[in-house]
Amino acid sequence: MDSRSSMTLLDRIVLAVAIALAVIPILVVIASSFKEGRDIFSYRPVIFFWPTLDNYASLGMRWGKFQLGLGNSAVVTLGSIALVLAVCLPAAYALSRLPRHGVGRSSSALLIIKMLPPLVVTVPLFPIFSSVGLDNSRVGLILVYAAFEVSLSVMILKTFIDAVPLEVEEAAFLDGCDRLQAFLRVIMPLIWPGIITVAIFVALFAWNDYMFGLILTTSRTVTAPVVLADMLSGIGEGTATWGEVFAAATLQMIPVLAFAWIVQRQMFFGALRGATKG
Amino acid sequence: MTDVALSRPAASPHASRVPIREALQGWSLVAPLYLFVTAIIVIPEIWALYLSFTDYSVGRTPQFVGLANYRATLSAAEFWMAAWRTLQFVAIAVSLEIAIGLWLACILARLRAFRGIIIACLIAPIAMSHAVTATMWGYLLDLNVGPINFLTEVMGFGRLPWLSSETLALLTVAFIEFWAGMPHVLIMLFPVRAALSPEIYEAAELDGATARQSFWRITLPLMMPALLIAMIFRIIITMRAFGTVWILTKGGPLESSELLSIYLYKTGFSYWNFGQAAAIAWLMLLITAAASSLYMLRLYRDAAGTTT
Repeated sequence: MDSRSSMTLLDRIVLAVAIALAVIPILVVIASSFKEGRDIFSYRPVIFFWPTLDNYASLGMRWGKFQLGLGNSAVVTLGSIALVLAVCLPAAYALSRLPRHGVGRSSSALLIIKMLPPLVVTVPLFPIFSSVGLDNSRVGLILVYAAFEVSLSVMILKTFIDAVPLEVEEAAFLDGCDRLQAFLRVIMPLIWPGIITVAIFVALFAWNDYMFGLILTTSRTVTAPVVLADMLSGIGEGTATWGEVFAAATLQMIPVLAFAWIVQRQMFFGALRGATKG
Repeated sequence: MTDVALSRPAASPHASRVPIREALQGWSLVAPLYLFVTAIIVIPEIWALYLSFTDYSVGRTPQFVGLANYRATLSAAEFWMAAWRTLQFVAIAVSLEIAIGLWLACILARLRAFRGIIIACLIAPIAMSHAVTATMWGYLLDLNVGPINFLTEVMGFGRLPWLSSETLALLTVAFIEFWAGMPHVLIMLFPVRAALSPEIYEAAELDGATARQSFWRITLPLMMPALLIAMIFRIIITMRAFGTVWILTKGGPLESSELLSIYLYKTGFSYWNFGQAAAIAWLMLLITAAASSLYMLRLYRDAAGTTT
């Protein structure tokens, strides 16, 4: 039986509209970043045009702050991924392999963390961060991003470690490995998909976050999304042009879009595993 | 089952002849995680509770004022207006997300050709930051240069001030929230729908069931648990929506799109009234906790259901 025959006309229309609605706005931003000003402002939307890099050149010349933001975002994202993995890999191992004496049960407390609205934390964190100077250092954001991602990450890693048969590890023990060596040599190579899944989730959050960046940074540690938002409101005041904003938006979205598309199967099934385990 | 195998002391030559040693090893591996989360999230959260009973502002020593902040917040019309707008915003965005997400999940489950690439397209908005989403829709809906207003003008509706009119702003930002949130619902619902066996539907068809009957009598009941979880999860997330709305409207025009999160942000970071902001924050936290407890209860029941 041809499965496509069961699609009604209405189903096809809904699917087509949904795809168009999801993709066209993104393509408009990317395409417009290569348009000349007069093509962006023309009364009739211009679909075919001669691509130019003018907007990127102008962005580079007039918005050094955006480049600073991209650099800060990159550092903060990589730092968050590293911190999340450093904290979660040992914990996930213990939750999976040493769950007795209350260790296994303790993780349910982490679910509550995920439910706390992030904005609530900024009220007390802001005075602390500004008095210690953490808002003027990229370490501050790394700490916050990692803290909000550990609960999901540890659950994802635990499910991947659970899936490694115990016999594999026992064989390593018989060969004279201790727990750490067995973990590094036997388990780590088998849970790479889990580590990548975690990296994607952390990267999506840290690279894209706006709110913490807005509140917990200074002009030296500002992140790319915050500068982009500034540029957008600068259009009305004449300090930025739509072309520059599109170029900045494209640069901000491309890394994560490319990363997510390359490994989308990972993300999809990783999310599935994380979701079923809470 | 694995627990039994794991707790067998002989499983590891190093760790566990003495149970205390295994306990120490286990706890020392999870301890950094809990200490870290406690320092960055739990302690600030509790400190916010303390601040909510003071008149604290940046650079001042907090003075205890009892319940004054809560009394002020709960008697402020702005708070209740913001709460009412948040309710409308969440209701519009989440019901659209669930309805369209479920529909697409059902369509995709029956689709064989190009399924991977179609899913990739449909979930692409997940990769967009709030700043990019705001840029995109700010341009598309712009009164002067926006292509959407070009279309509405061609169709004879004229140009509409989507984000700068008091009547349209909240609806518009709720739609944008739907655009950004629907893929999350699809990711949660599609695997569940795809796991329903085709035989049930074939059997129903043989018995003369129409597609509509199959949906209401088979798909919906079987997917109800997943739908509930997706819905509660999205309600919790959407209640805290901030970035896109703040960038696009700053809560305006005339507070018409001022959600609770924006009201909280303004109180704390525009008026520097931290005591009051902390009180609003804790009220928001309590509302979220109420919604979350439904979520937890559901998860708990599911877990209990699968183990027994």
